[in-house]
Amino acid sequence: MSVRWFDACVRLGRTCARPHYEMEGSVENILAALDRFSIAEALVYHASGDETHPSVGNRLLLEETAGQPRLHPCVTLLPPATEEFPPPDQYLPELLQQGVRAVRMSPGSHAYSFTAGTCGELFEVLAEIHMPLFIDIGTFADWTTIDDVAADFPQLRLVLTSFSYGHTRKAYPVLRRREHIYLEIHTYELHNGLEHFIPRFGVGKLLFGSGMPVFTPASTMTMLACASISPADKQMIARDNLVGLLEGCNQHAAT
Amino acid sequence: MPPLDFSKVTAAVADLASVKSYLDDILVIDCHAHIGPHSRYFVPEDDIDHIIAAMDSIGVDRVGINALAALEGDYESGNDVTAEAIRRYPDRVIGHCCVNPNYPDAVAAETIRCFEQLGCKMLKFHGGWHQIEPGHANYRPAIEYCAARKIPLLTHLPDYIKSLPGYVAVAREYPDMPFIIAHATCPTAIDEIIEHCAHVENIFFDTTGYPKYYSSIERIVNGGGEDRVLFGSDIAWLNLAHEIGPIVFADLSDTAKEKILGFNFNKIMQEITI
Repeated sequence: MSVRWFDACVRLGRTCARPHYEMEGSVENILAALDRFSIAEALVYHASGDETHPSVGNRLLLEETAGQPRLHPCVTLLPPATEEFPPPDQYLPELLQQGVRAVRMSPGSHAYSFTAGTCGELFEVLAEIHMPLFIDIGTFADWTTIDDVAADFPQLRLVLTSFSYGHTRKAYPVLRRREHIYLEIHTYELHNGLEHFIPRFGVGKLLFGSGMPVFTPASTMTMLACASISPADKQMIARDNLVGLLEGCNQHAAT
Repeated sequence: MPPLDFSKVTAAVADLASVKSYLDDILVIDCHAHIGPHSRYFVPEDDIDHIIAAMDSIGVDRVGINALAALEGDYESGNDVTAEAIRRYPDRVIGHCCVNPNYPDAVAAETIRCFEQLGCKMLKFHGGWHQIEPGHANYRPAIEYCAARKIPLLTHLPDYIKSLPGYVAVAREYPDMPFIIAHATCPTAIDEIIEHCAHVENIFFDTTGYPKYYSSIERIVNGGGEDRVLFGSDIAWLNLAHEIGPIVFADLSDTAKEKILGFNFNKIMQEITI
């Protein structure tokens, strides 16, 4: 069985306080690492989108991924009230036209409320076009707010990156209630965690990610390779679930 | 042994043949693991049977282990859980003796009970939970017992940066006793650990918990030497495969990987004179 990997969590660009040991997130370095670990494609965001400003980071992201068919841009958004971006019903279709199939938000580092009151206009458009919204649950560890947003916008595809073994007690009840929450697993290094999760919530909620350049793909790839789950389930986590999310958005773009 | 081809990890997603076949050919010992539940996280299947099953599925031969209860206040019943695992899997389980320095009157007696009645072969301090520095007098009866027998001490330091000078001083007092730093590849501590400990030959470095950081294995090997790095996993909290993958696929020689995965720790174990 030949399996293809699609990494759902890679960061391009330079962080301000880069640890000296960390691989620099240049396109060249990331592509070399993808080659080293036989990862076909990656969804990438840009460090400057978190640190400098999303508008700067998005410009760099789209420039750096242009002409790189293995790297798919995940654009960073802000809520509409401060008008730092065009209105969502205008801006998101523009992103679709540019080939963007996923977006992310960083409510913690960008200092806004991740609520219907602040972001509802944005959530409505994202839900309508089935564009997945990525949130780093490792830094935004507010499962109550995630639960509320998922309840208010049941068609919104929420992808929680950096899902951790430490989140399980908060996550399980939310996952039982909400259909469109998905989890990226590079920090879900729980003993028999996949084996426990899949019978309860389904394999369709899990996405492989590496967390590069901070983390090595070797951890999560080996965990997935050695898990006591079916080869078909491994393939879904390794690539197919993410492709399904992005294609949902593609179908809307085609219409 | 043929070098491991990185492209095989792709094939390994279909089954674990390539990883397991590599590990089956070498001695693999996990020096840092735990049995049983703990309050902080939900862990499915945390008993010794499931830990042994996970080891078998990947190709890990032996495990150094303690019950998490033994690191808390109820350390005596925790050590009994460890002893039961030793009794059930004597060829696979290397028991950690855990003492709690906050109950100093019991440290010496519990140390003797662990090594002379329960069959333990390692000493474990968790200064982070005990909130006591490894050089504290309350730990000394256990250290002196183990130093006389070359029993290794695995230590989770309460604060890696502040604790290191005191830890190094204790290690220098007992140069024939192996001192193993738990979680030595932690990104916020690895530089200080290398700086303070690389020149102290009886200090070893456990990979547990942080090999996932890019190039952390290569970094601790370059800083501490391939003869002093030991594989640890934190199973049943953490996932054995997640912890071992970065070593198997590290940019190191096969010889270095074999040393880290089992040879180095086996050499320590062979020196014990209980």
